[in-house]
Amino acid sequence: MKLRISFMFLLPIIISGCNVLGGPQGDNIKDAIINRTPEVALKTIKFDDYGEGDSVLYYLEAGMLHKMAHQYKESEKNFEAAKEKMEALYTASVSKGVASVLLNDNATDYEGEPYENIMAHVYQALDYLETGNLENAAVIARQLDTKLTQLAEKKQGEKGNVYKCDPYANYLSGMIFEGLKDWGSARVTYERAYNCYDKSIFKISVPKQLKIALVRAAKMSGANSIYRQYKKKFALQENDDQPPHSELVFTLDEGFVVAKREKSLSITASTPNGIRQVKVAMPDIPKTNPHLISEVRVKVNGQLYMAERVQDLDSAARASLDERLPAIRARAVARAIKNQAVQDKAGDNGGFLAQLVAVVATNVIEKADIRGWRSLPHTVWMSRAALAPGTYDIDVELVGKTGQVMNIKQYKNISIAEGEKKNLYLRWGATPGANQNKKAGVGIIIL
Amino acid sequence: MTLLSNKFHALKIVFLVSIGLTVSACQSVSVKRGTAEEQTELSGKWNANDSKMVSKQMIGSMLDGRWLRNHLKHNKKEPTVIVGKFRNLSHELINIETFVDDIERAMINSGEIDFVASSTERSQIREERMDQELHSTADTRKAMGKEIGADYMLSGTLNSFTEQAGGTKNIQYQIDMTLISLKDNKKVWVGSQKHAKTVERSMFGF
Repeated sequence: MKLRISFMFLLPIIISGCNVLGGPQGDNIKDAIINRTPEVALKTIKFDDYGEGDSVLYYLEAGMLHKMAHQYKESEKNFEAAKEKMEALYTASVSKGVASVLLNDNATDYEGEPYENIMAHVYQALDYLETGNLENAAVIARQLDTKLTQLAEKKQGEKGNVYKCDPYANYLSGMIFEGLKDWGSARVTYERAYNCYDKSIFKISVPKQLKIALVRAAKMSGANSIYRQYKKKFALQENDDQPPHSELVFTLDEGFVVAKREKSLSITASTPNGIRQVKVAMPDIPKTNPHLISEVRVKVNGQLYMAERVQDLDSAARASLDERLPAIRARAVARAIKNQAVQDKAGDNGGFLAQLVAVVATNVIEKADIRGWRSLPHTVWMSRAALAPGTYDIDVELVGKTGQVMNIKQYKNISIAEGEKKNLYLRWGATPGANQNKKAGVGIIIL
Repeated sequence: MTLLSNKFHALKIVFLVSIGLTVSACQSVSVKRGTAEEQTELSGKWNANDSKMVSKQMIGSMLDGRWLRNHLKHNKKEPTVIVGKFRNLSHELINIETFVDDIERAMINSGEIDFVASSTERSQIREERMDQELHSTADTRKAMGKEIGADYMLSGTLNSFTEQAGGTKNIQYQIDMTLISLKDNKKVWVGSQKHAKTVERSMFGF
């Protein structure tokens, strides 16, 4: 009888349909990106699987998959929906705080990490660039400017591992303004990108292509002293500051940002029944090296243009989590103390069985919030090639850590018109069947 | 009896806590239906109402300008206007085509000016005329070379400026329009209008 009652108590907790871990389709999405079958994942991910509370994650994943499937309109719409939802969720809601203290952080609607918010803008801008809609891309660049200013103001004065600027977002905005020949705005945003690469958490050296772009924008905007200052500092070649007539911009998204996992910690806390050891569930990002690519070679009609790393989302994710950890820990300890009290009360009044039920119940619902945008890459590479108008064959070689070319992506007969900035984008998860091929000694895979 | 009662009470607490926590973990979905206008106003973004209001006011201002009286005085007939490029320089993804449609509608409905189709529309019409040359009867066929050339081109930009503090966001839209004489590139009218909106929320930003 007691066991039956206990089971009934546990049942509603166990069968809870809420996505306490978030991102129920994370593995499907990852597989689809690795196997280059986004259409398959798009058929399996459903809004209802995520629910209203995790709708931001649904929109972000759907946006990325549609982008990879070259369904730009759908992609752009999903990123816009994600942005709107994130904006709506960012409220100083008292009920949100209470809910996460009583239960766990998964009880709150997922509002997205700041770097995810910024990247939703970035991908939406890329959608517009790939479809040649520079004007809408510029709208997103202006939104990014506002967002990044808010971010910088909020984090002003904070030291250490803090995500307070985003160099890639600034760099892309600069490129968009340059495309519109708005040289003043281009110069300002390029300069912000330079400062962020140079003095922030990102483990990327300032890309040479950005130095060239900054000097060029300074010259074209008439900021002569800034132009001379950077030209001397960067020691560029004489013709580097000439604006290109036409340009090829190749962007590669590599791998996946390392997913959060749950880590259990035992913490000594002061409870109403004295000093006790309490168990708390905390999110954690494991220390792994996600890099598989050492070089990206872009060959345009045989001429080599090396791509450079322009975004390091792994560092952004770690910094964002580090910033939130003290608050997460405080809430988790408060919940643990509350759970301890429930267990003690059950034990005092109902004996061992009731206490056992209470222990199981409170432990089952104590989960770390490990939700996140699973299809986000950990690194973005970019190459810019100034070209004359014409038709080009482009080979992109992805070079592994051992120096061997792992994959080649070929683009045939790419036409570039006078004054055009042609944007090509490639999403790369990992080499499909890489392990089997390695064992079998199979060579380069054409994507 | 007391022991049983206590045990039942304790188990009841655990049960209620479990149920309470489980239910509170789920986010209930609430849908409130309303008119499209109400919903767009809620978002605080540029919407169809703004587009109609601004286009009507600006075209009204344009038609009050001296250029129209001068044109009528010298040409003795209504001017013919074409709408050129309108650019969205704001922070919002605004469908500028809808705004241009509203401007065209306001101009046509004024009855004070003639209005010719845009270059994209003209291309389609020319294609149709070419088609008629081949397939239509002589009495219904429309001849080439009888289009009316525009006297003026209207173009413009839509800018926005935002300012926010805490939960209040002020958005100021600035719409600038320029009417240029196609004969001599002379700017005959320049208009500017500011359109402000305030959005209240718990908080904006990060």
